[in-house]
Amino acid sequence: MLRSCIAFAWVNLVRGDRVRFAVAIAGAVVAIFILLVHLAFLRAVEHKAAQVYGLFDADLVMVSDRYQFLYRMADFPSARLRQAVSVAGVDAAAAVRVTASKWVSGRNGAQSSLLLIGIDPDPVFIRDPGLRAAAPELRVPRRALLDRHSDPEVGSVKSGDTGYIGVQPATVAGWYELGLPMYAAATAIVSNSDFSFYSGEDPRRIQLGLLQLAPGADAGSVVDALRRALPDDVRVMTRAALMAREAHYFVEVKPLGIMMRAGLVIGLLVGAVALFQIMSSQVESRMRDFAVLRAMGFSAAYTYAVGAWQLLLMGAVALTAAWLIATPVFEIVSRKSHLFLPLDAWLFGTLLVLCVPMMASAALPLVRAARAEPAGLFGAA
Amino acid sequence: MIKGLGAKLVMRDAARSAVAVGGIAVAVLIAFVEMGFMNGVVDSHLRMVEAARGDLVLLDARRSHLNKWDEILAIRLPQVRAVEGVVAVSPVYQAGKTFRAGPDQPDHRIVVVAFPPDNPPLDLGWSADTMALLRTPGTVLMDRLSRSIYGKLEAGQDVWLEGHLMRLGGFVSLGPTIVIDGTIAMSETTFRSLEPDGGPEMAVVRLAPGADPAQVKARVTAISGDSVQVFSKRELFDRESDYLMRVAPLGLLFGAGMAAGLFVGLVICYQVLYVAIRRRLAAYATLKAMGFPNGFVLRTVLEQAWAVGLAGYGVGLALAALAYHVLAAKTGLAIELNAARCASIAAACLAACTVAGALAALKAMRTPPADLF
Repeated sequence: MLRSCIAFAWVNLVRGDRVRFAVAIAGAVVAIFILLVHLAFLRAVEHKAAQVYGLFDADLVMVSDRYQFLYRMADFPSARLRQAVSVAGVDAAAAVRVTASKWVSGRNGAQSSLLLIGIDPDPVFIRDPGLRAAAPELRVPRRALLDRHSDPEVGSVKSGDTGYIGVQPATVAGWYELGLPMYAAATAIVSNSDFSFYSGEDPRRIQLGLLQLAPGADAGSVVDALRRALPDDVRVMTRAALMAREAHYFVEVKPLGIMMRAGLVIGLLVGAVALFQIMSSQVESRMRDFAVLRAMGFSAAYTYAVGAWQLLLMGAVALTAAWLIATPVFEIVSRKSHLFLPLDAWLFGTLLVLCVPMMASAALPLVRAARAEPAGLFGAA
Repeated sequence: MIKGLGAKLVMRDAARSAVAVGGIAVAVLIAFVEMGFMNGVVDSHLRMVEAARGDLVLLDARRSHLNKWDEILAIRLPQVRAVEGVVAVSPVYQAGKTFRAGPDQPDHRIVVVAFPPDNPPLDLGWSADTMALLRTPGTVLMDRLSRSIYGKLEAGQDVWLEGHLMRLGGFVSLGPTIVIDGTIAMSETTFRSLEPDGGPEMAVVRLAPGADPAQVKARVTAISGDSVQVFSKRELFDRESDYLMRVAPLGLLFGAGMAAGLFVGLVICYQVLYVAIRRRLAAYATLKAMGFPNGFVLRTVLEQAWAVGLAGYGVGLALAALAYHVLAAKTGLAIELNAARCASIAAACLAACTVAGALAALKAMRTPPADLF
């Protein structure tokens, strides 16, 4: 029964006007491609916004209670880190400092906006492998690591070159990969001991605290304990929570979320319309076949099943085609923009979920097919 | 020749035509919305340039796009002022500062824009009274179209910029961009209390009536060499549009959507016409048997396509106008209709319907009359 059902569905699709069918499938492919692009871009923006925090290995983080987003991070006394370590469950703490500065090329004096980050070159708190390997270079004073994904004018500088961070000289000692075009043209990492030299800011105040928990400690209860122990000028949260806050700023405060969601709605609409049209004309042109089936004794459910298989087959073809087209396109965009655009299981799964309402609305014409009155369709009467 | 057969057929098949009109309207709406987002990002970025009250805009040569804030060397302004043909050069300072609406409120980053309050270089959609408030040192004007993160503000209240207490005198209208969440305007004098040194990020140049912009540009280059760039507003618009389209995948994100919208319009138009033709295939066959040429059949079908296309475009345009209003309010971006944009979508709609009609007519044209009886 199942095999004949699928066979009938297949025959319905491939017999008949091939051109028409191809044209309408193309519409479904474009619609699914749009869904892919918008889903992927939305995720890429969230990922990019929080990428800095991804460089570090920490269970909990500490920021000023006035923290808004990365570029203008208010500061708090570094003493809070020492206070945090004294709370049970906290193993170690490290300071990260962040400020806006400028990079001046040693070669031609060109200035670029710079996000300056200060770290302790201790590998324990660094998660990114590239940064971990390069960080020991910072033990030598006046050295800086540059972001390879900076704007080309800065990113093309070579190791060993000198430039200026602010007004003080710095030697490029290594590289890491980040890319934060929405904050500054370039980012650079120096050691915390050099940070005040370059930024002119108070060395006793820091912007971000990294906390690592003792093995087995429960993050939730340690966060509560820390909130009780520390004064109101700092906030403690999990690293994931901080990353979510940063992402939320870009997606919700800025209109990127609205724009991407509108795109998703559009993709769904377009796909539903394309598939609906195919099903509608398929049903219309095969009305007699469906009537014969009913006359032969097949149930209405069988009719729905045939239609459903048609939809599934078409959906599978459209999805595969869209995925194949997206593969090279995402590769190119990802390389140019340094955005995180993987074609992975999450994307596929979310896409499938979105396709459900699309297919469901395209199934509506089947109602007419299932109701096909055998007697009414034979002869002129 | 049967005149207006196509239009009559469309009216006859009211229900089917309505479906076609509806489908095309949705397709047109989709194309407008995607185009609206794309233009919204670009136009919002250009609002500052749009607001300039002058003939030319002066930027430092290192400022390769408006998201970089390199300063013009202060000496350049009087130098340019001395150039023949130039009547006035007015500086515009821009800087990102920390804004707080109250002593217990969180800090937010805001962009400060400052200039001489007499004969200001920018038109910020304000009344003369509001403009005059800038003359009082320490008074600032908030852009009421800024994003809601700055909180509810009232004229007359205290605000803090970089920890300095200032008074909110009133409001202006500018609008945020993708990058900038909010703007606050102040006089040059007030700005100096935040930033004592430094040149302006932009200067607005006003020419004498009849002065040739090209000649003035050449003279400016002769005096200041490569250190500054002079643009007409149009040239700066074009440069910034190119920059934005290059830097962000705007074309991919919104272009795909626009293409999809028009494609859907084509598909719907085609499917509806196809079914309509098939139902009347006998009638078309009769016409051909009577001697009407294929060209007539094609024209009839195209007339139907254009009729539903026109109606669909009209409905879609109305829906788009509504959608633009809502989207502009929700995103803060400059999402607007203008004649050129309406015309381009209209042209695309027409093209799509023509293609759809031609494809649908193929069947009727190819079928020999004898086969259909």
